[in-house]
Amino acid sequence: MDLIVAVRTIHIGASVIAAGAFAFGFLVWPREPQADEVREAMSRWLRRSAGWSASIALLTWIVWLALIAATMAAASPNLEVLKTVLARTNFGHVWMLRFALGLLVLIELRTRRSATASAAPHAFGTVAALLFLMSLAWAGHAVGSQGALRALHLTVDALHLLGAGLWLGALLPLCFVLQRARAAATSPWLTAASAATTNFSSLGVIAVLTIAASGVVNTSLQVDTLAALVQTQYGQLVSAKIALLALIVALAGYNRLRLVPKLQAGGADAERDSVAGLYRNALLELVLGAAIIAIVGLLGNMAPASHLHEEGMQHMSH
Amino acid sequence: MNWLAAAVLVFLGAFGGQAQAHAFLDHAEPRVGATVQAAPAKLTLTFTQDIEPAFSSVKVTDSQGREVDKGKVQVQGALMQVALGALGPGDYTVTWRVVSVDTHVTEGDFVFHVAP
Repeated sequence: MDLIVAVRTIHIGASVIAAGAFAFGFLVWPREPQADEVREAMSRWLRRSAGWSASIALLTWIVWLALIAATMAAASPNLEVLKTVLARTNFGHVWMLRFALGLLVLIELRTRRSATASAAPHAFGTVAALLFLMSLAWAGHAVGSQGALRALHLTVDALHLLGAGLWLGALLPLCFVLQRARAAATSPWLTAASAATTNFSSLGVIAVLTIAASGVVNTSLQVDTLAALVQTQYGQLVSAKIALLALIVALAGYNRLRLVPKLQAGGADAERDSVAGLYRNALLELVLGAAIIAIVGLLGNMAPASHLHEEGMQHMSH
Repeated sequence: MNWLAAAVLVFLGAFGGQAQAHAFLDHAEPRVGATVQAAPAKLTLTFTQDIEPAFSSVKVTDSQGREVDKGKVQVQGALMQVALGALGPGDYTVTWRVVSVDTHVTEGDFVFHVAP
């Protein structure tokens, strides 16, 4: 497998997890005061998860730059090449902006070590982490759109990434809460899990609607390529992706319509059952989500073969 | 079913855009494979998306492999131009390599002829 594919996949995954950790603290974690032990454990876990993922995202972003520079220059990336890429290419400018955003996220985590998992202290970090994820759109294919559609395509892609960050990213911390609630079976963790699941459920609807709306707009811009998507290897990968997403949405729908009401209705047995079911489904959704991100990483390198023109011999070397 | 329809649209949408993921040669002047009566003073290549001037290049050589372009390549948006020396009748090979603004590399070559 191409190294760039692996790096891109890890980078997107890490960016989603970092954004999700912040978004979870800000939007999903219940506002009501929680037991100290629960609050502290959650806060510690979120900081650690955000710290690791943001660090991995920054490291892979540096490797990404080196790989892109090598491809652009068709040579090993020496200092001169790196300087040219940073100063004179679109990717270079986006790279510096995103690097700064990633550093801001890490600095925020460092300086707010004592922060609780409550909403207020994380507003700045949340904005930085979400912008870090959304600005990935400027390093992707949308930036190659021509004319007036470029701005629209970029906006739509950024919203698409935001939706992914809110949904998939916040799913990981939710798994942690559910796992604790299932294992501990003590009421503070169950209370927290119940409230967090309810909040996540609302956030999930908004995130899916964002993903759907951005997808619909994007489709209306690109209808002429539908045939190519069905006939090529590229198209088959996209089909696999659609199937994966359909599974996730089905699981999420089951959670929302069956398990969450059961959890809210209360009763010790019902709570235990629904927490166990939610945990299992959330883990499954995470695995499916990881597979989707891997496909995104792969697709980033491809262009449908049908796009090749009659204009002489031409091919892609990357 | 609504969810599924949404999911399908979402993913076709998100990746439909990638059809334009690489800068391919849309057309050239002189045209690819064309025979021109008068020797052209410059070569113009138009790509399917904007390209990076810092890493995009083009070379025109005659049938002996001698470079006949004047070397200073100009790039603006999706357009690439290079001035040509005085071309005699014969076959000329254009070899290009471009980096699109979304970082993908494409390369290609074609021939045009100057009529005797």
